[in-house]
Amino acid sequence: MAVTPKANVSTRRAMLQTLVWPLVRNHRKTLFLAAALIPLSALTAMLVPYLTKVALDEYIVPAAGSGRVEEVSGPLGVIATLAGLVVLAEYVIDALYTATLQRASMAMLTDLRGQVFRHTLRLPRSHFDRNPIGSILTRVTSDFEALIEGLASGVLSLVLDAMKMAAYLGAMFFLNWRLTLLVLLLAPVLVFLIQYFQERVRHWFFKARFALSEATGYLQECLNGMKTVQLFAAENLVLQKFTEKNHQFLHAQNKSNWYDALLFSLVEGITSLALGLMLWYAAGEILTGLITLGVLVAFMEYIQKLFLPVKEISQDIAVLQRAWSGLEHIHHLMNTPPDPAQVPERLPASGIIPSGGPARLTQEPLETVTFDNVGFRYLPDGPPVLSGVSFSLRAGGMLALVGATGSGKSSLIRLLTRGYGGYTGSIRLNDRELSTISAQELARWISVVHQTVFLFKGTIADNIALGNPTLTRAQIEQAARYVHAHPFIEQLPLGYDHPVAPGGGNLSAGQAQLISFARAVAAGAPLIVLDEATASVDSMTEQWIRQGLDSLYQGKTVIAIAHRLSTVRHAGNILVMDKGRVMESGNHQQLLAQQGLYAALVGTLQQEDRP
Amino acid sequence: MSRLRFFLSLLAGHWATYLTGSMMLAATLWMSLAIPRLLQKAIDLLGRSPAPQGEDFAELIGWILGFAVIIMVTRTFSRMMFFTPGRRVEFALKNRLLKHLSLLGTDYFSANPTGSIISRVNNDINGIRMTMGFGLLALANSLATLSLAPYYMYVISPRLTLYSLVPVAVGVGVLLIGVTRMRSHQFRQMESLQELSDFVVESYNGIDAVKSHQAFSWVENRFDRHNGDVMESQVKIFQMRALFMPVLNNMVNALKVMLVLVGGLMVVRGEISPGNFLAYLLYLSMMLPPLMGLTFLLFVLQRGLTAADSILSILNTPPAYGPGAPQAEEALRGSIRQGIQVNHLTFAYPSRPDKPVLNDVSLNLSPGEIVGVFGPVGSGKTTLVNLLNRYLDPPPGTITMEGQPLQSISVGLWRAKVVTVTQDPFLFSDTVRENIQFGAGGEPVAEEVMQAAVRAAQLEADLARFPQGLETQVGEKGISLSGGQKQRIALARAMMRPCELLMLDDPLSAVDHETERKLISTIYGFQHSRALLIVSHRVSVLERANRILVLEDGRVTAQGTHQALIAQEGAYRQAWRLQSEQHPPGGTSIAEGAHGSHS
Ligand SMILES: Nc1ncnc2c1ncn2[C@@H]1O[C@H](COP(=O)(O)OP(=O)(O)OP(=O)(O)O)[C@@H](O)[C@H]1O
Ligand SMILES: Nc1ncnc2c1ncn2[C@@H]1O[C@H](COP(=O)(O)OP(=O)(O)OP(=O)(O)O)[C@@H](O)[C@H]1O
Ligand SMILES: [Mg+2]
Ligand SMILES: [Mg+2]
Repeated sequence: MAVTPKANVSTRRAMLQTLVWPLVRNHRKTLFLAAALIPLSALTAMLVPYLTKVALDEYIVPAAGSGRVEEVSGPLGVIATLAGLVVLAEYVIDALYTATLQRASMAMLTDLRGQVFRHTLRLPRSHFDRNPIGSILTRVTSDFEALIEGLASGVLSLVLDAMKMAAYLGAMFFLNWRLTLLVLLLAPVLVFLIQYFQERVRHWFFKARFALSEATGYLQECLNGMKTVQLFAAENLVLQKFTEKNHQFLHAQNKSNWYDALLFSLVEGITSLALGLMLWYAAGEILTGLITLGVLVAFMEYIQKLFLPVKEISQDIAVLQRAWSGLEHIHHLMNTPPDPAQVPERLPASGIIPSGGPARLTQEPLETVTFDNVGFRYLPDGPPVLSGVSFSLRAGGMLALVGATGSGKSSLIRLLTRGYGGYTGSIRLNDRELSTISAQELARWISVVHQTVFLFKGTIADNIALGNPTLTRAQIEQAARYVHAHPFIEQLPLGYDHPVAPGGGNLSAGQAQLISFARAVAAGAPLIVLDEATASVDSMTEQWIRQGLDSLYQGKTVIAIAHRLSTVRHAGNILVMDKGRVMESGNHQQLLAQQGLYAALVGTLQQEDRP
Repeated sequence: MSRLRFFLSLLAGHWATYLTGSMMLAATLWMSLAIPRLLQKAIDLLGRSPAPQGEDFAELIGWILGFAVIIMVTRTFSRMMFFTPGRRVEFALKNRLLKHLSLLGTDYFSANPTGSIISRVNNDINGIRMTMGFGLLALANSLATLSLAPYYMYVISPRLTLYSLVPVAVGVGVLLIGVTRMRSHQFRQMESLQELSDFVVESYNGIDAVKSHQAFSWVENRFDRHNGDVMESQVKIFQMRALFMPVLNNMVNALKVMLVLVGGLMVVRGEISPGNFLAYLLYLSMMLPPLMGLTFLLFVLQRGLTAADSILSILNTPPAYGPGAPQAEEALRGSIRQGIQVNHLTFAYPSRPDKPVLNDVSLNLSPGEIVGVFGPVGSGKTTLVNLLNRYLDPPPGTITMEGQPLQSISVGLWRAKVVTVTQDPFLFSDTVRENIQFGAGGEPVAEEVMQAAVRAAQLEADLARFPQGLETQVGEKGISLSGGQKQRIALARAMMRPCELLMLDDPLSAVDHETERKLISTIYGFQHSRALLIVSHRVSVLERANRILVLEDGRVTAQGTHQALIAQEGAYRQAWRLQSEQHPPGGTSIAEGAHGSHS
């Protein structure tokens, strides 16, 4: 990421076609207006020096020192009025141009940002394993800042600056082509120097950016884990690491500053050099009357204005390159195939993922869940996490998964809910292969309580409903009652409208887990999957939950992962897993009779303590 | 600290650099202002008849070219001498901020989410850096140019200069209004961007829940709102910019128009020479950059001031913990004999001062003692642990160590003595090894110690299955680990350092009974002279404790050994019943047998 990835021609084209062009097309009117203003702006910028030249050569210099004020003041007044109007027009055009252009580019980017966000939400979970959230966030924020800058000021100002240069050069040739050629002799030097230094600036700029994002990422992690840092008195350790990363940023930024300062001074110096050289050359011609004073003055103005755009163009190019690399990152992200499960069957013509409600789905009842010799690895070259897992579960039945920690239980659930694809063997719901079932359909069949609880910022009711607009407050409350969360929610001053701190910071761990459980119950799917859903809950509460759920589970299908016997003993079928394999299966009685792994995993109470 | 003292403290140590930079700048300005004079002389020389002396003319040109070359050098250095300190200030300030942040307590972090602190560290320090670098340079540059150029102009023609000053004043006034207005929009824009990123991070964190509940439209609608806010505030800024930015450029152009009329007539009247006219024109052009610089400066300065306020709001937050009293700390030298006492502790969270979460809790943790804490969901167990490790601030006098009140002991010393495994352990996105080593707080860790901790936390089998073993990257917050693996790494981390009190908050909730059994015997076996406090819902984890505390709704409702507690009615006995009736008779022997055969 430190250096801009070099895109080849075909990906460039693809990028322009898929990302840029649709945006441009949607906003073509505004963009066209802005583009139409460009030549006008260039023209007005060129006119004032020219009018000055006319005034000088035609009126002022011929009458210099003569005192014939009445003769000259009339025409000078006319010229000044004209020039005044030009200046006014220039202001109006510039303001209009900037405003329209920037509004259009902002609107384009807002569209694009929405698309990118929608896309990232649908990326496979494995993408989040490999890419820190901070770096995905950069795609949606910093890269967009660069893009905004690039679109708003890069593309069209490049055109504008080029046009201005052309206008100045045209005027200069018109006034005196030999002098123009002389000035142009300096151009290759200038262009070369600008190129060289700009390249160095860019190189270090990207290094600095990279270092900054590393440092920021680390800082973010430290802040998130500040409690751990403090409790382990590891402040100095963390500070030392942070300082190191900061130092890299400082170094790269300093380098970039050096080249930038050099570039700035060079352009300024060369402008002065050009003025001196021009005067030197012009001296002879002025004497012979080939060059008038007016021409000289106009040239001085033009040279100053000419070299400015040269520098600005190189800056525009830098801005554009930055925007381009932002665009490349975004393109790369948009080209990361989304989780196939999360893509609606038919995309609308625009290719934009719709934000609307669920599509109409035919809802057949769930009859069986079948795993057939399923194997899985997280990474192609990683260790197998599941191998040869087979089972079959009929609707209304209950399957329990037990196994040592790290044996692959949660992984199995992630496959079933299409959190990950790429398994071997076959997973079927009602004889339909899992990969042909969209996540939307799946969500109507399965609700999950994940092992890792996550609560969103918002109220408790928000967190239980999780955006399902069809749930009434009564239904939300009912779900909370089933999992015995109602009693504690009721005691909160605002009840279901109690604001949950980000990450559930103002609730106890067990309370947070109950809410996440209620969320799955509220979803009301026929198959409910519990991954250690009561791990942080006490036995009494657990028993109440079981009683509440017993009535709820009537006719429902359950897959439960638990280390606790209380949860698994009622299961019709229990799979005992070890290192990704099913080692034993059967019901509680059968497994106990085997006196194998199962017995070891679930029962260790001391004999003498039993009542 | 006041703003002024803050900025002065930042400047300290950089005076020499700034001074050299200013000298370079002065030289640069003097030369660049001399160039128009030289040009004017050359041109007037050309206009004079008879033809000019070749040497005079060549000399003037020589000066111009010479200055042009020297300017390149001095300009470069003058810029660097201003920018470099800015960068160094930024560097130092960032480190200083993190250092200070690490001294702040829970209250601060719950009031200021990570996102907003990050934005301060990045954006606001940027504002300070710009003030210290670009800002000061623009100040010096503008002040010098804007006082010298008008002086030269005044020398050429006082009247013309008076005419030009009026539009300049008007233009700068208009811009000032613009900049001030822009400021509030800028603030709003930064805020909305901050909200957007916070929201995006939260959505990614909860991505599993979003997917399995297909809550996309809920999340997307909220995103669109934030996105729309960002757009609106940005467009406002753009509009202001479009309106105000071209003003100066156009104003200078307008001045040139005026010069043609007024100055032209003066030339005709013979009041000034054509060369002077030209020099005047050049000076007008030269005024543009410093004028722009001046408005930029105002902008930067304003930003710098708000940034300083925002950064000072961090730096001026007093550290959460006071320094220790030397006599009190002296009593803690060496190992502890009396242990830690909790006396009539009542505690309520600031957000709900009316509802105490702990009510009159008393507890004694003597060296070598194992105390279990049992209680239903939300009964205050974690709160008690967080008070004992000073993550939360207990009321004065309620907690003592070795008879010394907690507040009289520095937090560093306290935490050297108290180690906690939290209920929801946080892992860094680093290797397993680094995460475990973290427990030593930067002290080097011997390989044997590491291996012993790995064994004690039952991690050997897991690590053997990871291709990179201890060097495996665990991903953000340990995303690529199983629930039980995370818990056990946190456990190993806590074993890196000897301590006086080890607290384990529900440390085994995600491990199976078999692993739990092995872990308990190591944990209980590890016990030498320190005290151990262990929180759990499971009787099997607590039964070997010397004493078990039953917490219900913040009150200690029972206390005693496992045997004593199961002999009396109450929550503990109930739980024990529930948990043991699920275990068939003979479980122990089966477990032992299986244990022998498969591990
Ligand atoms: N995202 C991931 N990338 C790579 N490896 C992973 C990932 N998630 C889990 N693993 C590995 O896969 C194995 C199985 O993990 P899984 O979470 O399925 O275990 P589990 O049976 O649920 O354990 P626990 O009871 O501790 O939750 C573990 O060794 C774990 O380290
Ligand atoms: N930051 C906070 N602000 C306000 N209330 C809080 C905060 N943290 C916890 N609480 C409340 O304090 C009570 C006790 O919480 P605590 O985390 O101590 O419970 P616990 O006994 O550890 O429960 P669990 O077994 O679920 O972990 C709960 O009712 C909880 O909602
Ligand atoms: Mg798991
Ligand atoms: Mg707790």
